[in-house]
Amino acid sequence: MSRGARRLWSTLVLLPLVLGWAHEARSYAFLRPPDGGGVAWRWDLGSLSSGRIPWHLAEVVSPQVIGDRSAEAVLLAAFAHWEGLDESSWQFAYEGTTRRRDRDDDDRVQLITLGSSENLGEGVLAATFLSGNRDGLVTDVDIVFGRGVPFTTSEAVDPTRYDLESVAVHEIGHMLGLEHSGLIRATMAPFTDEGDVHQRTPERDDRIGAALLAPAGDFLARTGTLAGNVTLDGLGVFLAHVVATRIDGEVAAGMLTAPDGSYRIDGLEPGVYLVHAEPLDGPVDARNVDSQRQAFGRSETDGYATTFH
Amino acid sequence: MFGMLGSSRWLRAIVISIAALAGVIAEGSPARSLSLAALSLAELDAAADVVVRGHCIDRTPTHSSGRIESVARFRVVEKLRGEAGEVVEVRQWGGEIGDRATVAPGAPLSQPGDDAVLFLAAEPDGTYRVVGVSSGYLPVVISPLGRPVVRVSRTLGAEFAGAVAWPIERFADRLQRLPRAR
Repeated sequence: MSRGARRLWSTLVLLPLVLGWAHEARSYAFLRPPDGGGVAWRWDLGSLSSGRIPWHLAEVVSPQVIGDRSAEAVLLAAFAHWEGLDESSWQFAYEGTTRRRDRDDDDRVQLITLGSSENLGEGVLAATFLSGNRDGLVTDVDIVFGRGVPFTTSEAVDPTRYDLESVAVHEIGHMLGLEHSGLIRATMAPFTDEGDVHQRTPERDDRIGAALLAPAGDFLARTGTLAGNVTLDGLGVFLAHVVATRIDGEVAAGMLTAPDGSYRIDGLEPGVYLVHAEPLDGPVDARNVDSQRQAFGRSETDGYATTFH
Repeated sequence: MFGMLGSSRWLRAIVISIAALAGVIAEGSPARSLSLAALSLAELDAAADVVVRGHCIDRTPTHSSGRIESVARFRVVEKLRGEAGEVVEVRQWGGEIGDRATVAPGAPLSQPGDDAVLFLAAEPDGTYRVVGVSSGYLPVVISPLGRPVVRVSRTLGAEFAGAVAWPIERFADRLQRLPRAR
């Protein structure tokens, strides 16, 4: 074991979690604007009609998108996954198709396009472009699907094509303000493969993140917080991946440490958790969560490895 | 609740939890990224016109056609594949102008001083884009021994599994041993 690894505190901490107090929701892996001092992107849902985020679908759809369902039906299903979560209050309003096919970061219209003239580049399946003020208020989100990517709209698994519904659920998660997750089974993990449909349904980690951004009912009152610090040689570790696992083995949530090494995982049900910290060393790594680096103006901490004490 | 578990049950629970963690966190290599591609080394190389190690000089956000994008200038420290000038201009998604900002989750926005191996595809106007966005942007850091090492990911291929970084010379050598597809 390296000297650095021995000095990594909080690598494995067992904590009884019996908390349940109401608190400010300010943790988890949220997208952050550049140089924003660490504030998270957020919607002013109260300013939207009925609190719903409106969106349009580009009429033009790439011929590479094939399957049993229409692209429109798949996207409605993808939004419904986020709307259907008990613990959060996200709602959306589909406002029909539009002849526009290319994104515009300024028009305050959420455009989803499967027929963009924009070339996203080699191997890029889809990209979300989230715009707003430097203080974190979201004003526009566009989702662009790669025009040459072979997508399937079918409900059944097609092992030769990418599942449009899974990719859409992931990108809509970015629309809410969620950053990539370090948990590879999460919907917000940045990876998929042909025929992989497991990301259609948000996992616990995704659900907590969505709920903290727009909580429903008594979610904040009935859940608690794990907080602590990850340090290396006495200094805070930035962008360590801290994971809370239930005692039955189910991963509850993961989040990233702040520049001072502090972490705070909100939205946890009362219970006993195993807390584990590791570097973001793949498959998900710091490049996949670059908004954190941009927000805080510094790179992740090096020089430690995943270690169990 | 901590005290309600007997020691053997507690240890068993820890073992189960760690095993679950290992399965969840360290799952096998995925092939593609949802929003941004995770390409193998051979795929990155095949899609790149030039591969360089560069130091970011500056990044200038631009606003046109309703979009905020950035152009980052990199001083070429080393050419690993293909030909490039002393400075390359790299287009990146997003940026900040005045009070406005745009981000594309997972897409790097360079800062002055950044050191990276860049797999670059040429644009018609003489600028470049990074292949696979984050996949073709491999940060270079200085190891505790004072040597430059490039961060690698298992998504680059099986030989990179288990390694966090490779010495830059070793990475360059591995790259140059790939058959050149273009």
